[in-house]
Amino acid sequence: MLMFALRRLGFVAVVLLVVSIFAFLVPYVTGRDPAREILQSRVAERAPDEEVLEAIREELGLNESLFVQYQRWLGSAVEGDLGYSMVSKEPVGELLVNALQITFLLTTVTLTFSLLVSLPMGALAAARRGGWLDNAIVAVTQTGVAIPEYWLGPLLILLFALTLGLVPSAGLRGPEYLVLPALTLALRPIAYITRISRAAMLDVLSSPYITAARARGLSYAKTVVRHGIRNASLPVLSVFAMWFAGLLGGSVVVEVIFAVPGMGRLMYEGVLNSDIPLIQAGLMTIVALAVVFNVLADLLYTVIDPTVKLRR
Amino acid sequence: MSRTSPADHDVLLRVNELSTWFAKDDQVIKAADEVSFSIKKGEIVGLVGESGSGKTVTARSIARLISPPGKIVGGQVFLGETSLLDLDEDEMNAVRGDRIGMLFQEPRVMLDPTCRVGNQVGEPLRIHRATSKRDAWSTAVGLLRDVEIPDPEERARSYAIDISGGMAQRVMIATALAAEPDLLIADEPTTALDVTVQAQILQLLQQQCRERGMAMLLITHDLGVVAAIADRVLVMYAGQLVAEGTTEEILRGPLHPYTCALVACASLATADGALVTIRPSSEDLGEGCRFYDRCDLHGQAGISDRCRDEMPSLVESRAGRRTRCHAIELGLGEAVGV
Ligand SMILES: Nc1ncnc2c1ncn2[C@@H]1O[C@H](COP(=O)(O)OP(=O)(O)OP(=O)(O)O)[C@@H](O)[C@H]1O
Ligand code: SF4
Ligand SMILES: [Mg+2]
Repeated sequence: MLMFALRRLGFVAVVLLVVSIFAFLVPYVTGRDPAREILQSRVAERAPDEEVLEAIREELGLNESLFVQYQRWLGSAVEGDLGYSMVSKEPVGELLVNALQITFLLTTVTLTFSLLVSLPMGALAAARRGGWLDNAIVAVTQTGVAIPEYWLGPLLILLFALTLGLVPSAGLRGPEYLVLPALTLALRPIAYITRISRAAMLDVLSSPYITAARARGLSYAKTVVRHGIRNASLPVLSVFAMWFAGLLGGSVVVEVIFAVPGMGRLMYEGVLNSDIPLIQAGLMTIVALAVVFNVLADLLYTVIDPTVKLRR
Repeated sequence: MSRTSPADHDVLLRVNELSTWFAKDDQVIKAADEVSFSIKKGEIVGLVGESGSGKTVTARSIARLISPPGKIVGGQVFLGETSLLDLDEDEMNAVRGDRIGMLFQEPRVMLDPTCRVGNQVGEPLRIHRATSKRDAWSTAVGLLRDVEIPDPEERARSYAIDISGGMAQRVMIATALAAEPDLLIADEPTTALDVTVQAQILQLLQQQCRERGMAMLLITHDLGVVAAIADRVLVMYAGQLVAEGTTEEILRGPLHPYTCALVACASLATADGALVTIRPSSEDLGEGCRFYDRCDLHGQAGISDRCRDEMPSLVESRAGRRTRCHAIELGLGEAVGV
């Protein structure tokens, strides 16, 4: 167990290092001159003054070699200093933490709701395999994965905010503001988690060890509880972890549509403004979160199914 | 339906015209077709027949572990005084694992991969005796020792993935024995195991039956297995019982043409001792004898019309000796040298 954890940690360190290089380089491959962008964003329309540009480059250390810049960036990042936004001049760390908190909240609400809907739906579909209810659930999940958020979001706003006036449509000033973005975001995880839990449950329920447990005298319901759920939860957990990590990166579409100041919107604005320190640190954070979640999920597998580590 | 128990007090299990059908593409497969037999207390009865003849379906029907598209459509099963098919689901759960233990062909996949061996072995006690977790565990360790598993404390803590097939079958045996059942239904318990392990498992089963006075319905392809430990033998063909007798009678003096073929094949000794599937013919059953197409006897005995048109019944020629064949019933078997 300890060896397993250590090996995973070593793996994580390597992944993060590689990712840091890419995150650092990404803003540069766009081929735009950050100094020029910054200046233009400040003094609109006026032709940039070469002297001022040079001063900005100097200030931001953009004249040094990429390698030196990377070293300096990584060094201070490790110390917790992610630099300052080129646009707002606020510390990038603070911007990210604020945005992450909001996205984390939105993600948690979205996925809690998704699980509450999809686990019973999946189990029900499995229990009624081939019946009309099963067919209906399968059909709904198939439609669900195909509906894009940029279509569903405005539709929900139109229906629940503008027409029915039940919930606010944009901003984030209270819990009720999370309803529509969470609903919009939840559609696809609901569809996928329903599918996977249905499949996992069907798979487990037809397993020989379920028959064997019944032969020991367990009722069907107790068999499902004692020997079914634990086994069926493995594939569900991996899909869930994937969604959690993915949503933590922030959904640009949903956060922009609903004006939620989370990771998605922060990154979106960062890219629009070519805010290099923000983009770099943001990418790094998103990937690091994804990696950490994967490791957590892996560790959780070994708790649920103690034989997992032997299979790898 | 009669609720009376069989008169004979030595009888543990009485199966009476048990029928289980499977619906398949708007056609019915009579996987078990009016199967009748009984097992005495402490007796080991072999159930043989080729693949698809309905052995597993019969065994699982007794424990009512048939799931759709299969359905028990008729008959009675008495375990002691209890009419199993009349029990409700809760009452039946109380019988499974307590009065009837079961073994299966592929022992390793019968173990929950996420559950420690010790917990599974002790589970019948937790279910039927309301034993505490700790007591169930220590009883489980003792049971693992009984089935000759080395280092039982250590093994109890392991998982299915850590143990071999032979070991897993020992674990399944320990589980089945936990609540001290009167009847063990063993569905090909050695078929998936190495030949050397097979013999050990059979010996263990026989020994446990003797020590505990437990009866066993032992399903197998392998007449060698039957010869080694069964007291009596039932032969199934295409969903029906076609012959019954003591092991001696069936192996030394088979009467039914199908039994004769089995015994002949077994003595021809295929590599693994399994029965050669001559030709499956469960489908498209006519009115007459189901063995008709594969039988040489009806022609020799000159009763082909009758065999084709009329189903022979399972006739008792002597106490405990039954055969389903017109030729034998008419005494024509000996005339042509069977
Ligand atoms: N789940 C099922 N669905 C449809 N038909 C089934 C099913 N299980 C059994 N049957 C039918 O019942 C017949 C008897 O099957 P059974 O498993 O009892 O045979 P068996 O004698 O145990 O064979 P084997 O030696 O291969 O285990 C099969 O030929 C098949 O037609
Ligand atoms: S009844 Fe006729 S066909 Fe059937 S086994 Fe006997 S002789 Fe052969
Ligand atoms: Mg079988």
